[in-house]
Amino acid sequence: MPIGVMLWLRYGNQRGGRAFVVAASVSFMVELARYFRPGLEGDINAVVVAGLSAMFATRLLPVAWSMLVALARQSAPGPLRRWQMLSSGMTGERMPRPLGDVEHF
Amino acid sequence: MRHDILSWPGRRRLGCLCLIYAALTLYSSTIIGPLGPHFVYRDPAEVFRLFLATPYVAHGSDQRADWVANLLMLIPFGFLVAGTVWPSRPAFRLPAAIGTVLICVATILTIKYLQLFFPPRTVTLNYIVAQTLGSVIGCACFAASHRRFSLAGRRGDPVAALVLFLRLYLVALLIFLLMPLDFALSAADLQTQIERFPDTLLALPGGDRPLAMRAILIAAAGAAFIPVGMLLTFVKAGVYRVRRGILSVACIGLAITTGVFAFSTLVISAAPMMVSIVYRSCGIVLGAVWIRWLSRQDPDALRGRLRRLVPWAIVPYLVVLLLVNRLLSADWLSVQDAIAQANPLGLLPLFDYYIVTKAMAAKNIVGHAVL
Repeated sequence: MPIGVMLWLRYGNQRGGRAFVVAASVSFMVELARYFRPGLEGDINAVVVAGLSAMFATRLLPVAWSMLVALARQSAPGPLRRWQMLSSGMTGERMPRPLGDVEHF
Repeated sequence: MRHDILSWPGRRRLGCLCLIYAALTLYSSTIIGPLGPHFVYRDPAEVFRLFLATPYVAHGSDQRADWVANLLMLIPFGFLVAGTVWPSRPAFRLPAAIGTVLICVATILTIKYLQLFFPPRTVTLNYIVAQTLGSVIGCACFAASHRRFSLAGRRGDPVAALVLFLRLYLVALLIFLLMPLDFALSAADLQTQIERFPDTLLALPGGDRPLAMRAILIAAAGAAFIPVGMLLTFVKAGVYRVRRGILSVACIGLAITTGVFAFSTLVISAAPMMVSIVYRSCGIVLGAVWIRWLSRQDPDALRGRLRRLVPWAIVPYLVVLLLVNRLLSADWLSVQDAIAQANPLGLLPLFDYYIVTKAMAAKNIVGHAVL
């Protein structure tokens, strides 16, 4: 799943197939390596599970993200810190202040 | 913004998933066995007579976990079959529900009949009843969730959809934590659980595993409760808003995690730990803090920041992956030794899930998916 998350963050939507291949390949190498450790055995099912979960993550994250975007739009903007004002060249007089929640109906 | 957040998957997609699930159930119930694939030809008519005489076996509480696991295994199948045949007109819904149960029962009986060709597998009425109940529960879950999803979809409120998903996550998490749901029901079972209770007070997660892996396990177990903390911050006042304070969330979270611990002490197969109350509550508080912070961020800027962090996260992720799989070691086998050590049956798909309890198999699947 973390591979799906990273690929979605890095390359955006429509990367389900790539996420499956990358996650399944990494999992295959890990499970293969487990056969070479004393007392351990690989699990071939993990390869498919890893691939599917990464693909599922890339499909689910756009939906989850759009929910978080809606949540952020529903809430007030955070107060600007002094260092943020200074870095953007804003003075105290021009600093925007949150007036309250903005409701969307 | 996406407006198809709550669009229900089409019937064709649900039908495909249903067929895949049925095929996997058939495969894992017949081909997979303690000796691997073991088909023995017998006269189908004779096998049918044997099938009609399927016995009911009076099991003790030690078999309850397997019975409940069989019930749980058929819930997704009932859900998917119902989703495939569910009509849009309310008048046809009762016949559709009856049809769903009939399809599920026919599938279960067919698989049970075929199992008799694969000794040493046996068939009992206990598991037929458990699986039928599971498919009925799956059908009921679909009927309830379909209505709820349809209502939420018509409302078109993504925040309400988020709350709905978080609630579903909470239900799934509670079922997962209490698996295999084999609660102590008799006085003797309760007595045994009470005698076990002092062991739960000082038990720590991870058993005899290395310290780093135990730390990762505790972090993951706590992180599983982050979405619960997110859910608890929402208060509905017309629309859902992040309103509840951290202290209130912490108190409710403590009550939930204590309740989960109390229930898990009644599960015969579970290994409850009192310390879990602490790290699960920490996860809840972290979730509350995180959603409050997240709701005040600029989403585009945040995504840009996360995108830039990805290359820095690759190496830590790989280190954790190797650590959890015990691959950070200098002790390795030669190719010959590795071949001698490997179990050839382990190369059979799903065999590794067959040889452990179903609850353990579910935990393995979740562990592999999360990593």
